[in-house]
Amino acid sequence: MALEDLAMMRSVHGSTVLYPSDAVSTVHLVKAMAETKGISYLRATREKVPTLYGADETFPIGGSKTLRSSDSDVATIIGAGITLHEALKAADTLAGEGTNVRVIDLYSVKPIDWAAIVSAVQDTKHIIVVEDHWAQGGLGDAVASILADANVPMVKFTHLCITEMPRSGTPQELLEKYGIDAHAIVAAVKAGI
Amino acid sequence: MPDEATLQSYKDLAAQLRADSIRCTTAAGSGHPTSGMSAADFLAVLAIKYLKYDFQNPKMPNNDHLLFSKGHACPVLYALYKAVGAISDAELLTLRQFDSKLEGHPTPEIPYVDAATGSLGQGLPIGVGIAMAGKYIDKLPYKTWIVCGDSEMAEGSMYEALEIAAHYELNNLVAIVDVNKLGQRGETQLGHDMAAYKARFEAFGWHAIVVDGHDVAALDAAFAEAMTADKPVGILAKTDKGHGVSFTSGLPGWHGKAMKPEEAEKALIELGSPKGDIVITVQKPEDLHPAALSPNTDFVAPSYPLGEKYSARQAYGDALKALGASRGDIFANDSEVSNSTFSETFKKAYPDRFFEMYIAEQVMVSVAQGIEARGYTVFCSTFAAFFARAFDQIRMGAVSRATLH
Repeated sequence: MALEDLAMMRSVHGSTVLYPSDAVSTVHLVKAMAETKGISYLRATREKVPTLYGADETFPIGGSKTLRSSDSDVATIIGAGITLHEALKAADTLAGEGTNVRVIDLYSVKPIDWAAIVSAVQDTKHIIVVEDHWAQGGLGDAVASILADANVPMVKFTHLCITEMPRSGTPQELLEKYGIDAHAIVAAVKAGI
Repeated sequence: MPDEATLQSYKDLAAQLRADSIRCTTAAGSGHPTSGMSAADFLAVLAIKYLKYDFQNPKMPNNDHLLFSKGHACPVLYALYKAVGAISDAELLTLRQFDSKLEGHPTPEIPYVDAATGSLGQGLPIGVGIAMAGKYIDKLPYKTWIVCGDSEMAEGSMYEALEIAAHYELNNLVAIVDVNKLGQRGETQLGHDMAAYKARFEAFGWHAIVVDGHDVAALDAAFAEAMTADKPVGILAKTDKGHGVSFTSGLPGWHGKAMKPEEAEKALIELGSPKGDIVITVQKPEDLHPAALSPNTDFVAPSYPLGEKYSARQAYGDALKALGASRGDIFANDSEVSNSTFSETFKKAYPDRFFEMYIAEQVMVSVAQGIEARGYTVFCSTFAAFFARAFDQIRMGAVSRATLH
C-alpha cells in the first residue's frame, strides 16, 4: 500500500503509469508494458476483487473503460483499482434509487484518456474522482489537469482521496474511515444534484 | 613487470589525459578537471593494456563496459575517448556546449556510455547489472569496469551493490575507487584511510587491492591481479585530486572548477606540455555472441471467469509467467517479497531468469537498468511504497532513456 507512488511515477519524464482494476486488465497491461519504451509502472492491488472484463477486451495504454453510462447520467465517477469497485457499488445503489451515473475505469493514469474525460464533462457536469492516494499527484490531479484546460467547459469537481494519516484496519474499515467507499461516493453524487 | 617503454607509454597517455581534461574544461569555462586528473594514471593503464573494446563497433556484444560512477569526472573520460580515436580533439573542446553530445555528465547519447551517471552511487549498481547480464544471460567473458569516487562511498546504494555483486559472485566486475581524499567542500569521511576502504570491501566479500594510484607499475600489477580474481575486485587507488599540477594537487578549493586560461597554460607546462596527439589502439574483444534465449512463442493469456475474485497482484504473477513463456528475453527482479508480489509464479517457472535482490530496492532498479542496457527486458516488483526508496534510480533511468518496468 502506498499513497505517493502514482505522484512519484507520473512525475518521471516519459513514464507510463497503469492501475488496473481486475485480473484480465492486469494481464493485458503487463503484456503492454513489456512492449513499452521508457519507465513504466503498474500498481497491482492486494485485495481479491471480481473479474470485470471478458477475455476478448482490449486495454490500450492511454485508454479507459466506461462501465456504466446512460443518457441521463448526473455525474461521472472515475476510479481505478480498489476504488473502481466502490464506484460500481455506488452506481448500483444510485440506480436502485433512480439516479444514473457514469463510471470510468481509469486504468491508464498516464497517458490519460483525455477524450473520455472531456465527453464525461460535457455529458454529466459533475466529475467525481475517487482514489486510494494522497490528494496530490494521483488520479485526481491527472483528471483536474484536463478540467483546467481552457477548451474544457467548467464543471463541478469532487476529489475523494486520503486526507489524514491512515492507521491499521480491514480494507473495508479503511475505505469507509477515509471517505473513499461506496457510501462516500453516493453522498458526493447526491451533494452535486 | 612491464618494460620501461610500456611504463613510459602509460605516463605519456596519463599526462595527455590530464592536459585534455584541463583544456576542455577551460574552453567550456566550467566542469571538473581535477576529479579526472586523479584518475588519469589508472585510466591510462586500463586503456593501454587491459580494456577490450571495439570503438568502431560499440554494440559489439563482447565489448567490455566502462562506466564512470563518478560521472562529474567525465572530462577525463572524454579525453580517453579522444585518445582511443573515438572522438576528435575538436569535438572534445565542445564539452558542455549546447549542441554537443559531450554534456556536463555522461549520457547514452554518447555510444560508448551505458547509462547516465552523475547522481552519485548509481554507476556501480548499474555496473553490477551489466556484470550479472554478462555472467548469467549473455554468458560472455567481457569485463565491467566501474570508476567510482571516494565521496560516493558514503552512499548506501554503493553498499547494496557491493553485497549483491559478492552474492552473485561477479568475478567479471572491477570497481576502481579513485580515493583522492577530497569531496566537493573538503575532505571525505575516510580521507586517505586506505585500510578502512579495504576492510569494507573485504567485509562485503570482495577482493580488495590497495594501490598507489599514481604509480603506473603498481597499477599494472593491480589490474593483472584483478584479471584473475575469483571474486568482484575493488582496486582502491590512493590518489591526489588535481594530481600533476602543483597548484591543484591534493589541494581543496578546486572541485568543479575550471582553470582560467592563464592557469591552464601554467598547468600544461607543468605536465610537460603534452602534444596531445597520442592515439592508442585498444584491444578488440573476441567476436563472440550472447547465449541463445528460449525461442519466442505466442502469448497465451491466463483466463479468469467473469465475476470470480482474483487479486491484481496474482494476475501480475500469471502475466509475467505467460510473458516468460512467450518471450525468452523477459527477466524479473524482486526485493525479497516475491510471495506477496506473485513474481514467484515466474520464479517457479523460470528460476534462471529470476534475480533475488533482497531488501535492497535501489540496487534492484539499477541492476534492472544494467540488464536492460544489454538488451533484455526486466520487470522489478516490490511493495509500491518501497519503490519510493529507488526514486532517484528511476529518475536517472529516465535521463538514461532507459526502459524499466
